[in-house]
Amino acid sequence: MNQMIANDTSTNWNWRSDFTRVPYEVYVDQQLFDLEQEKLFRGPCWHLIGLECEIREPGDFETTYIGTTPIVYSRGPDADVHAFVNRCAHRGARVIRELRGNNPNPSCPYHNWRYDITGNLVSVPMQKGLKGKGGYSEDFSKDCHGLQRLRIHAGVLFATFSEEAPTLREYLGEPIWERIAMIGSKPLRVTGYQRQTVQCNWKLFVENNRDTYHGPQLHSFVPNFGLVNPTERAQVDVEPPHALLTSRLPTDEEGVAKIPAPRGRFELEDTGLSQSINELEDIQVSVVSIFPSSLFTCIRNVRSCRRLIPKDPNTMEIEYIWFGYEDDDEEMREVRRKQNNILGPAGYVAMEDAEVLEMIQNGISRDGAEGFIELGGNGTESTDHFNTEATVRGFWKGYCELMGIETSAEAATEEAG
Amino acid sequence: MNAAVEKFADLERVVSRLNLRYGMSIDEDRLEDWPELFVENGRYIIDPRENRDLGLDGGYWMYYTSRGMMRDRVTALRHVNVFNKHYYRHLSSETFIESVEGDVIASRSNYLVVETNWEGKSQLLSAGVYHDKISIKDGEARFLEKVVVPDSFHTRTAIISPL
Repeated sequence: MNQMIANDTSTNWNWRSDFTRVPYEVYVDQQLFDLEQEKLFRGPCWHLIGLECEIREPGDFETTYIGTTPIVYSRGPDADVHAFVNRCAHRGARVIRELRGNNPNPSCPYHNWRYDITGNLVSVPMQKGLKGKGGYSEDFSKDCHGLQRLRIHAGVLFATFSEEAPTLREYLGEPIWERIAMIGSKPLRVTGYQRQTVQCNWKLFVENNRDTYHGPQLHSFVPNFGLVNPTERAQVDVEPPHALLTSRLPTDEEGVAKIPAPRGRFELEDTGLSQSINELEDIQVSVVSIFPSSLFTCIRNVRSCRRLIPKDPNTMEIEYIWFGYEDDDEEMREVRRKQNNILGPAGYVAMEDAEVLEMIQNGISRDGAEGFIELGGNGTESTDHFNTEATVRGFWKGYCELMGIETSAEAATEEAG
Repeated sequence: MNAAVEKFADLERVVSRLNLRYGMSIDEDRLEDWPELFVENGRYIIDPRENRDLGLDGGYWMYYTSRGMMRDRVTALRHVNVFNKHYYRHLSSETFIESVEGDVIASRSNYLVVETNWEGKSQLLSAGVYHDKISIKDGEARFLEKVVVPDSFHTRTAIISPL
C-alpha cells in the first residue's frame, strides 16, 4: 500500500518537512483513507473508547467504532473489562445490534453462534453434525474462533488492536497522562450522549479541535458576549502527534483565581450560560487531542470525551459522552447543563465548526492546491500563547511518521514558487 | 355534542394553533416571535431520545430555562453566529391532550422538520415528539415548557434554529 501511494504520480503530493503545507488530496483520497485504517486505526495507536462507569454490572456492554471497525466494550462476569470486534467469527455479521445493554451471552442471528460477553465462543450449532452427518471436523476448536480481542486500558477506557503499541502512558506522554488523571480523579457520572454526522474528512475535525487560531475568529459568540477573558493564561503543549491546550484564570497577588465580569458587544439577557463554579484548579479550558481521533475536553464546567469516527473520505461521525461527577449536587448539574448550550450539534460554538468544515470539504478539489499553515512560524514547539498553528503542524508530523510518508525539505518550496 | 366534549375539542384547537404559530415563526424567519410564545420563565429544551430513554439529565441539545435565554439565542443567530443560509419547515400532527389541571394543559404531538439548504436541496432534519405544558390565561395560550424529543438522536451537521 505504501508503494502505491509513493508511485501514484498523478497526485504529485509535496510534503514539506516542516509541515507548513497540506495537500488537499489528503482529505478526499480513498487509497489514503484505506491506508489510515491499517496504519493508524488498526495500527500502534491507542483510541479512547469510553468510560468504565458506563459498564457497571457484569454483562453490561456499550458499542462504538475504532475507525471503520465496529467494537464492543463490556464488563465480564469477574468485573473485568473487555473490548472486542463486533463481527461474528463465522461469516461477519454483527453479533450485538443495540447501542448498549446487558447480555451475558450474545449470539449471532445468522447461524446462531453463541458467545460470552468477553468475546469467547461458547457454542456452535451442528458442531458435530446431525445423526453422524456433516458438522465440523474433529480438530475444530471453539477456542480458535472467538471474537477478535483488543488490548484495553481501564478507567478512562482506551483500546488498541496492536501488540506493538507502547503502554498507554508512554503513548500519551506525561503531560496528557497527568491531565486525564486529574480530570478522572474522582468517580465519573455519564450525563448524556450526542451523535452527529459531519460531511468532512475526519482529519479536518482533528485539526480544528487543536487549532488555537480560529477560536476568537470563527466563534465570535464568545468575545461578543464577553465570555472570554483576555487575561487568561494560555498554554499550548505540542506533543506530536498529540496536543494539549490549556487556559487558566488569572490570579491575584495571593494566587487566588479571579473570575472577571463579562464585557462584550452584547449582553446576555440571562447570564445562566456564563455562570461557572471553579473546579479543576484554575483551568478554564483543557483540550486533550489524542492522536489519531480522540478528544477529551473540559470547558468551564462542561466535560466530554469525543470519539471521532471516519466513515469515508468525505464523512465522519462524532460521538460525545458528556460527564460530570458522582458527587455533583443539583446546583453543579444545572451549571453544567446551562453551559452545555455552547457545545454539541446546536451549541453556539460547536455548530460553527461543523458548518465551516463542511464548507472546506465542499471547496476542495484535486487540483494540486494546498493549505497554508505558517502561523507562529514553521516549528512545533510548545508556547505560552494561542497565536500559533504549531499543534496543527504537530498533527501532520505525527501523521506522516506513522503513515510512512516521506517529506522533502527543499523541493516543495521551489515548486510552490 | 355535550359541553365537556366541546371544551376538549376547543383545547385541542388552542394547543394545535400554538404549535402552528411556533413552527411558522421559525419557518418564516420571525425568530423574534418564538420566545414570545413562552411565559417569562418558560423552558425550551431539546432532549434527544437516546438520553431521555436512559433517564440522563445532561445531554440536551438546547437547555433554555427562561425567555431571556431564548432571546439570547435569537440575538446570537441574528448578529453573531456563522452558518449557512437555510430554511426549516415544521409539520406538527394533531394534538393529544394528556391532562388538564387548572389552567395547565399537558399535551403531546408529533413533528417533522425538513431542512432546505442554501442551494435549495431539502432533507429530513428531525422527526420526534413535542411534550408541551401550556398555560391559558386571559384567553391567551403560552408555553410553560416545550420539550422537543427527537427520535433522530443522531443528527447531521448542526441544529441552528429551534426544532
